Parts: sequence; structure tokens; C-alpha cells
Amino acid sequence: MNKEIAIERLNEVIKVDTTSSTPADFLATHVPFRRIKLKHGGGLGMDFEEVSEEDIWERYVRSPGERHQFVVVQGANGTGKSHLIRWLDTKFKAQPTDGEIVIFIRRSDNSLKGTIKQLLTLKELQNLPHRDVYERLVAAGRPVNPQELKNELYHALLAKVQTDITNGNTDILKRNQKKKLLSLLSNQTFCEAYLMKPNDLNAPIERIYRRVATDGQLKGYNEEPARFQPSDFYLSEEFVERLQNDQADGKAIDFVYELLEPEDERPAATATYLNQFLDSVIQKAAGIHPGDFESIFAEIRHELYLHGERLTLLIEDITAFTGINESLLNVLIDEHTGTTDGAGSERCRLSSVVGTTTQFYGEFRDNFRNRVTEEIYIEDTALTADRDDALLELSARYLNALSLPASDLATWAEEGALAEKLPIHQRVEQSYWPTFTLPTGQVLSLYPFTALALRNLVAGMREGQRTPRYFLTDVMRPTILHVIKDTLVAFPPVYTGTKPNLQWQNTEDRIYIMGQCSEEEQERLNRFVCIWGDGTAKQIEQDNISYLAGIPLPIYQELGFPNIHGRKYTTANTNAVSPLSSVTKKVASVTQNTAKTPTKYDSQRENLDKWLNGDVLMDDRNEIRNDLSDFLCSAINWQEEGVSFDHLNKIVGEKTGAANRLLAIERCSRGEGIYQLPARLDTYRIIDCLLKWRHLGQCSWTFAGAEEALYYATAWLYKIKDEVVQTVKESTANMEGTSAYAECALSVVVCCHMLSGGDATPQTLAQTIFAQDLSVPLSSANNLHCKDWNNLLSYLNKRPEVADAMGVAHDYFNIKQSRYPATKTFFNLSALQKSLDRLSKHDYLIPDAEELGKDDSIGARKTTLKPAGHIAKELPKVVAAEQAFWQDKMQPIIDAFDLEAKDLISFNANILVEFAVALEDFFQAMGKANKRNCVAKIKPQHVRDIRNNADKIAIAVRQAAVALEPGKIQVILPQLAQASLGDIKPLLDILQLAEDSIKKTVDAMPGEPPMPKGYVSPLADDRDLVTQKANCALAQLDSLREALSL
Amino acid sequence: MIIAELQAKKALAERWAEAEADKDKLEERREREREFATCYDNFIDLINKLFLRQQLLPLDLENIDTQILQNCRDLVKQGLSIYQRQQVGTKNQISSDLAKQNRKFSALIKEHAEKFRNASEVIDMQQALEATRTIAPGSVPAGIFMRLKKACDKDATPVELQDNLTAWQEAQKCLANSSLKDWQRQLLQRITMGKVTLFDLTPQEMSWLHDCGFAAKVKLRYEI
Repeated sequence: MNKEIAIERLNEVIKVDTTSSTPADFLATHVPFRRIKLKHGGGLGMDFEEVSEEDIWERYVRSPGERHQFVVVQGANGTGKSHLIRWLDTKFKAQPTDGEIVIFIRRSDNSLKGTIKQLLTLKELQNLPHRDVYERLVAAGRPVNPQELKNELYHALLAKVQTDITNGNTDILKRNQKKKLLSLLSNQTFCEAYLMKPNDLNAPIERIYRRVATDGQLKGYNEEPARFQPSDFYLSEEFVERLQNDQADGKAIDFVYELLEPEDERPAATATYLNQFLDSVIQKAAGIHPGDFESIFAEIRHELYLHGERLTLLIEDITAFTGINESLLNVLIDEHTGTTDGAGSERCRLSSVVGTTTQFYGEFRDNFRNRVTEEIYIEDTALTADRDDALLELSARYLNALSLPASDLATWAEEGALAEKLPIHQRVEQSYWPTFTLPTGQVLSLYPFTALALRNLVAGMREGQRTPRYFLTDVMRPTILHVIKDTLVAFPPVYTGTKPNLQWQNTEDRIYIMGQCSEEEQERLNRFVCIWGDGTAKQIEQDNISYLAGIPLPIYQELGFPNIHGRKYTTANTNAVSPLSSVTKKVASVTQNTAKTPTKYDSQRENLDKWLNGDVLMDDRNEIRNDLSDFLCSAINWQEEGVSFDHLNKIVGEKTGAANRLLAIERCSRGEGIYQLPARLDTYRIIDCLLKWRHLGQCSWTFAGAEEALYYATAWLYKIKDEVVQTVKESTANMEGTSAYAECALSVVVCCHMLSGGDATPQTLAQTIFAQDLSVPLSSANNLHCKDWNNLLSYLNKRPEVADAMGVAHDYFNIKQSRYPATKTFFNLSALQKSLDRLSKHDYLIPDAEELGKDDSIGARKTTLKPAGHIAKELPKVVAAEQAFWQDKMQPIIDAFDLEAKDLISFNANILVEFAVALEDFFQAMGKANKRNCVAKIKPQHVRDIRNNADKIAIAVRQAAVALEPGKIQVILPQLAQASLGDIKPLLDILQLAEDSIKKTVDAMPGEPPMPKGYVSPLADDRDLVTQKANCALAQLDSLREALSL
Repeated sequence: MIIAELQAKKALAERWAEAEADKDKLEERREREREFATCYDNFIDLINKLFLRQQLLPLDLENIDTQILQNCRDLVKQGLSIYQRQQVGTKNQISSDLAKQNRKFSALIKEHAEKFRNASEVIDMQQALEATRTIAPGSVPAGIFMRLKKACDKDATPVELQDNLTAWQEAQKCLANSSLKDWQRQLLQRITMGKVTLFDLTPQEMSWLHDCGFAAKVKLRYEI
């Protein structure tokens, strides 16, 4: 390949639309159609005849005489319909027939107006007498502003729907549905987002516009028909929200909801409904009145008839006439004889060859189909599997044309384009690269392909796209581009348009070859051997050249592969593999093994082989994953690596019964995991080792080759161990090495402990956890705590996750001898202590606990997060509420004993004894005064209880007083829990009774006892004088005391 | 403070109980209240006397201290309350408490009168007044010597004690207003008491006695 020329010529030679290439390139790359299907008539019959392109030319196109013809060439996109029609045009030009005017309507003028313009350029029509017709044609071809034309299309469509709602001519949609649709179509948001979305070539109106516009500035190739498609009405929920936000009409929103209904045919029905109006819409927008085209053609044919000419119309693509389809078809089927009107007999004969896609042909009405004289079906292309030589010829011709200057081919074309004189480029690549010999004996290079590569690449193309067009764009172009950019060290490229089979004939060969190559190069080598070669490790000698996988070894070196060697075969013991030979049937090795009954290992091994070659690894029972997981779990000393067994068990679902999430295997039928094993050779080998362990050794390393398998497994383990351990550690949020879920469990446990009145110093906590002396504080029905406190206890008692947390807090830090339940506890005290110290700085609360597990895929690691988060959220509120609760309870004591709140800290039992004594005295005095009813509720026993339990009550009061002090939760909470309202309650009760009694006393004894009737006390006489003297005496006593104290 | 309230209510209840009990024994009640009035009046009087005596001559600390005074204070207040309530119940001990205290105070007053009689301060005062009267006969108020000795009587009334106190103040004033300097008065006092001979006199004292004409009076005194 001459890369310098190829760079220049690539875009000229490899064109999507082959008819737009130069005649020279067209002829130089043309591969004859040898097997074309032909059917007489356009009915539904399947009676096809197989003919060549020359047969078509000779029998139907070259000289039909006065025979009216309407030949339809149909086939899938890219099969070469246009190519054939252009070839026919080329033949006409090379061998013109007298009295036959041939018009080739190209796809490059791919629009209605372009087509009309092309008709107007014919010299035969320059003297057409009916000027008004010309004028109207010119008017149809006037340049129109693109946006204006799109708007015209859009509004014409709206008008059609509106008219249909009024007249009710169609029944695809109901009337109310039509109204809703009209509302949606009229909506500005819908218009901008879907119908006329700016810069979207596939927006419906844009699509239709591109078919009718003739401004000549449209770029790119668009085969989408100018029709509405169901996908145009696949809307999203977000769009509904947009409509609602924009306060769109309710009808429009309703219709969008109907379009969103799953399994509803509404989008398809809507598209079909709107498509009914497209012809007239386009006609209106293009300024053509219905019937114009037919009358123009009638004029043209008449004019040609007068000139004694006959007309052959070669139409590359009939879908270009969208908008006037019906009119055009009417013209094409209109024979020159037998018409009823007088003008009919004056028309020239019309022979038309019309290319159309199979899809569009399917939409032909029956009356058109019945008028088709011949139906040509291009199905069998150069890429069809059993036409290997055609594929090679096509490729070789294109590769040759690419390396030749355009002028060389132009000269050749001008000189008659004789096949035997086709210029051949000078090869510059190594001679090892394969060639193709044309029927003329000329040898063309296939560089950079091999025959196998071409076959494999075509085989990998999607069904329905195995056509020359897609071959050129998806295979030829990317490969050539890759080579001319001089990136051979990355050759072959990764294709997007084809997925060739990358399967090796057997895995041993793959392992053998890949083992000689670095990991980075394996994928490229794999592609090369499987696509360019035969997917084996066979190395043979032929004509002094070594071939590996059917490819000469020097080519490997040229492409920068390492020095690799295959398994030696001599030509005697194997069929020689020629680079140009057909692909060796890869199923051979499989069929050889059918003789023996496959064992479980064999079937699993086959499954594994297929996986390595790109299939899905079938592991529906998780046997493979579990074996791998068990191997890793047992072979890695997890605790030494800083991963607790509790953590590991949660990942593998040991206790929870959940799915094992340690490992995932790429392309495996089942299972998700935190560590993904890639679909690579080393994974293949470890799985194979474990398959042998399970099936050949019956879950033991006692089978033939066990030592080697075990050696490999161990080596693999050491290779990936650090990565696996790191992945496990990083698979969950962690706090300085401790998993978040364990920290959350500790948080829950410690808070429960504090709520039970337990001490919260980290040192004592470690002991408590070690001794598993943990419990959830029981909630009680009585009102010894505030409502919030009781609610929290109720939550903790009800949630099973809290009980789980108890276990986790212990097990996570337990260094066990195995992963399985153990009776003894060996604590990782330093880790536990570290966690406790860290937590204690935050009052053992983790406010963002629930956030920590948001992205965790392991459910078992999430259980502790929720209660931890709940506690962190609620506990500060609970403590505040409980303090308020206690303040409320302590207030009567403060009031009764005339104390300050701070005095409660030193509350003494003596005051209670004194109170009890006073109360007893009061009680007795009231009895003596016959006022017992005032103290009826005070029971002497209750008073005695106060006196006897004075110490206990005083302690409880002091405890509560400490809890009421402001401070950290971890200090206050245990005090609040320890403070016993039960101990204080008798005092509170008796205080209340005492106060009630005192109040009653006021009523019963409003003052001093009244004087007996008629009695005057001797003290009444000189009361004032005595009072004065007594006050004086008090002053004197004070003076005396002062004097004495000096 | 609930304890105080309970105690107050308890006391009130007790009074109600006693009033009820006395309902049919009004004479006994009257007698009891009268007795209280007497004791209380006496108690107040004794306090007054002690106060005045303390002014004259400090009381003996062995017999009275702050605790006694506090108890007395409580008794005064208690008595005042009784006066306000005008009720002394049968179980009320205040009368006997007052009587006991009164006896103690009476004894204390008796001891104080004895002490006052022998008090050097009192004797010194009398001698100083006498020396002053010797040199300047008109400068000492008449009858002051008797008034200065009224507290020597254990039954001295508060009025008498007050007069004694007034006399003491007058005597001090008299001495203060005298032209004699202290050393001169003391010299004369020593001479009067016969504790000084001519040989004991310093030249300065001799000079003063001579220059101021007092030597002749002293001589005269010697002659007497």
C-alpha cells in the first residue's frame, strides 16, 4: 500500500454513496454482481430467477424497444442497488442507443426539488412549449430559507390535523385523541424539544425538510425516510415535568401520559396517523399542486414523442420523491399505449429502473405493485459467506484504487476501462502479506488484511448490515486509517461496527501463546490471532516460511509483537494452513471430544473455555464464585491483614445467609462482588485449578496435576492478595482502619450501656464489651423517665439491629482462630481501645452514620448504621428532655427546703430526718387540736419511711443533681440513668401531702385560738407598755452581749 | 421552709388544744397569765438593772455569757408573743423559766452590788473628788458622794442606778473641769491618804506646792 497516496485518496475512493465517486474510481472498484434475483411482475410470488448484471443489462435495460417497463431494484440499505443502477447508466453512456434518452436521477440530489431541477436541465426539454409548466417547476425549485420551509412544513401539518379533527376523515386516532395531539403539536416546549429540536438531524421536521430541500448545503447522508416514526413519540417523565412547569395545556399533558403508557401502541399509532398527511404537507410546502408532476411528465413525454425519442429513467432512490410518491408512481406506471385520453397515444415509451429499499417497497400500494414489470432483488452481495472470492476481489480492488493516483485511473477509464489494463500499484509492504489474483491474472495486494481477517470481520458485522457500504465504512475505512496513521504497534484496531469472533480453537493454545506475551499486549495479540489468523497455536513451516495461526511470523514482528512461537507441526501431520485458505472450522476440536461422555469437570471446563472466548460464564449455582471466595477466605490471613472475620463474614454472607459479595467475575451469569476478576487468562487458570480441585479431587488437592494446580493457585493468590485485601478494606467507609459499621455498633452498644447507667470511660467499656456484659436497657411502662427517654428505649428494644450491634461490637474485635463460631475470646484490645477513645471524643455518637453506608452494597454492613444514626440524632434531645424532666421533679424539693438548685449536690439526709420529725410533731399536734382531718392523708408509716430511708433518698437527690449539671452527654447520661425517681418519689409525695395539709390547716385554724366568751386576759391591760419595755430589753440584751464580747 | 412551717403549725395546734382545755377553767388561766405577767415584768426589770449596772461596772463574766443572753432574748421574744396572743397554756413553762432566770439575775445583781462596793474605780473616784474638794471646795457637786454609792445597794432601783450613773458622769466631768493636773491631783490624793511625807516629794512637787500656795494647805492638813 502506498500510504502517501492512500492518505489523499481515502475519502475519494471510500464513499458512502458510491454513485458520487468518479467514474474511474467507480469502475476500478466495481465487482460484478453475479447472482441477482429476478422476478417477473411485482406480485407476492417468490418465483425468483438468478441472473447476472450483464443479463439485466442485456435483457431489460439496453434495448427494451417499445416495451413499457417499470423495473424495481430493491434490497436492504447498502446492498448495491445504486451501484447497479449507476453501472447501468455507465453502460448506457459507454454504449449509447439511438433514439433512447437516459436520465439518471442521483441520490446526491436527494430531494424533490433537486429531482425536478435535474429534469429541467435536460436539453430535450429546453424547447418544451408549455412555458407555464416550466414556470411552476422553477417556482417549485426556488431557493427557500431553511427555517421558513421547516415552519411551513410544521404549520401545514398542524392545519391538516386541525382539518381532520373537524371533518373526521381518519380513524386511526379518536377525536379527543386528535385534539390532545394537536395541543401537544402546538406546544412550544414539545416543538423545541422534539418536533423541531435545533441541531438535531433526526428531529421529525428536520428529517422531512432534508428530503425536500434543495439548497444544496445539506451535508451528511441520511437514509431515514421522511416519515414520522414511533420513536419520535417516545417521551420521558422529565418532559412531563417540563410541560407542567411551563403550564402547558392539560390536553397536551394528557396525551404525553398516554404516550408514556407502557406497552401502549400510541406512539406507533400517532406516527401512522401523522404520516397520512405527509404527502400533501410536503406538496404544499414545496409549492406544488397535486397532479403537477403527472402533467409535467406527460408534457415531457409528449415532447419526446414528437422528437421520436424514447425515455429511460434510472432513478437511484425512489424514496427521494417523498411528498409526491403517488404522483411519481402514477407516472412510472403510465404506459404510452392504451390510455383513454387522446393525449395518451402521443407519449413516448417510458422504461424505468427504480431503486428502492425493501422497506419502502413494502409500502407500495397493490395497484402499483401489480404494474411493476420486473422486480430485481439484490440479496447476495460480495460479502455473502459463500462468495469468498468476491469479498477478496472487492477489498483488493479498493485497496488497489487507494494506492493509485486518481489521474492513473482517469486515464485508464478514458481509454475504455479495459479490465486487463487496470493499473496495479507497486507493493511496498513485505512480500509475506497475502494477495488476490483477478480473473485477468493481475495480482492485487490485500495488505493490511488477510483473507481470514476479511471473512472474520464481515462475519462479525450485524445481520442486515453485511453490505458493501457498511463493509467499507465499518471495516475498510477504520483499518486503512489505522495503518496510514502508522500505528501498527496497536494493530489491529478495535472495531465498533463489527464484532468478530475472538474464540480460539482450544484454550490450551490460547494459554500457550498468551503466556509468551506481556499482559498489556495480550488483548491485541488475541485480536490479531483470532481475526487475522485461525485462532490456534499451530506453527508450521512452508516454503521456508514459518506460519503461526496461518500468519507468517515476520508479520508478527512487523506489527511489533514479541518473539512468539507456536506449537510445532509439520506439514505431514497437519493440514497446511495457508493464509488464503478458508477458515479452519473451529468446532473441530469440540467434535473430536464427542466420543467420550463428558464429566462434570469437562462441561465446566467447556463453560470456562467459552467464557474466555467471549461468552458468559455460567455459574447459576454460584459454585465457581463460592469456591474462589472460599479459597481466598481460607488462604489469606485476614486478621493479620487487618480485616476482622466479622467483616469478612458479612461480605461473604457467612452468618446472614445473604449472597456472597466478595468476588465478581467479569461476564459471569450471576453475582456481584466488591472485587472483580477480569475475563483474563490468569482468572481462567485459577478457576480451572479450583474446578479440578472440586471435580477431579472431590474438594481436595489429590488429583493428577494437583501440585501444579496448587502451585499456580498459591502464586495467583500472592499476586492478587494485597489488592483483594485493600479492596475489601476500602469497600466500606472506615475510620482509621476500623470499619464504619463496627464503629456504629460500638456507638450503639456504648449508648445502650450509658442508658443503663453504665460508666462510659473507654477503659471500663473495653472490659464490659470483653465480658459481653452488654444489654439493651429495658423500657418500662411507669413514668420514671421522660417520654422521649421511654421512646428511645422502646426503639432500642424493638429494633433487631440493636441486638446485632451487640454481637458486632464483640465479634469485630475478637481475634478468632477461625471464621466460624468460637467459645473463647481473644480481644484486639488496642483496636477496640482506639475506637472507643475516638468515639469518646464525640460522646460516642456518629451523626452521619446512615450516610456512611449509603453506597455500601453489603446489606449486613448496614444494619448497625441505622440505630447508630437514630441514636446520634435522638440522644442529645433525650438528654435535654430528661434533664428538664428531672428539673421539674426536683423543684418541689428545692422549694420545700428553701434551697438553691446548686444546694442539691450536697443534699443531706439530716434535713429529711428533721422534716420527718417536724411532720410527726405536726401530725400529733393536729390530732390533739382535734384537727386530724387536715392531716388525714398523711400516714405515719410514710413519714417513718422518709426518716428510715433518708440516706437513700438523699443519695438519689444528689445523683439527680449531678445529672442536672451542664456537661457532656457521656457524663450526664449515666447519671440520669442511675438517678432513681423511685427512691425520690416517696419524698415528693409526702412533701405534696404536707403542703396540702398546711393549706388545710389555714382553713381549720385561721389564727390564734379565740378568747373564751367573757374572758379578759390580764395580759391585755398593759400590753403596749410591756411590748415597749420588752423591745427595750431586747436592745439592752444586745448591748450587753456586745459589751461582754469585747 | 417547710420544717419551720410545720413547727409553727404544730405550735398553733397546741395552743388551740390548750385553749380548748382551758375553756372551763378560766380562773386558773387568769392566775397563770397573771403569774406570767409578773415574772415577765420582773424579768424585763432585771434586764434593765443589769444593763445599767454593766454601765457602772462590768458584770462578772463567770456568771453571764452570750448563751445566757441569747436564751434571755428568746424568753423576751417568747414573752412578747404570749402578750400578743394573751394566752398562757397549762403546759407552758415560760413562767417557771422566767422565775428561774429571775433568781439567777437577782443573785447576779447581789454579787454586782458587793463588787461595786469594793471596786477600786469607785474608791479612786471618791478620793479624787475628795482631793479636788480639799484644794477647791466649791468645785465638787454637793451630795455626789452618796449618789456614787447607790449601786452598792442590791435593791437599787433602775432609777437609782440611773442616778448613780449620772453622778459618775458628773464626777468625771468635775475632775475633767478641775484646774488640777492629774499628777497634781494624784499628789494631793496621796498626801490626803497619808501616803506621802515631805521626804517623798520631788523638787518639782515641792516647788509646785510652794509656788501655788498649796504648801500651806498641805501643811495645814498635816497639822490637822
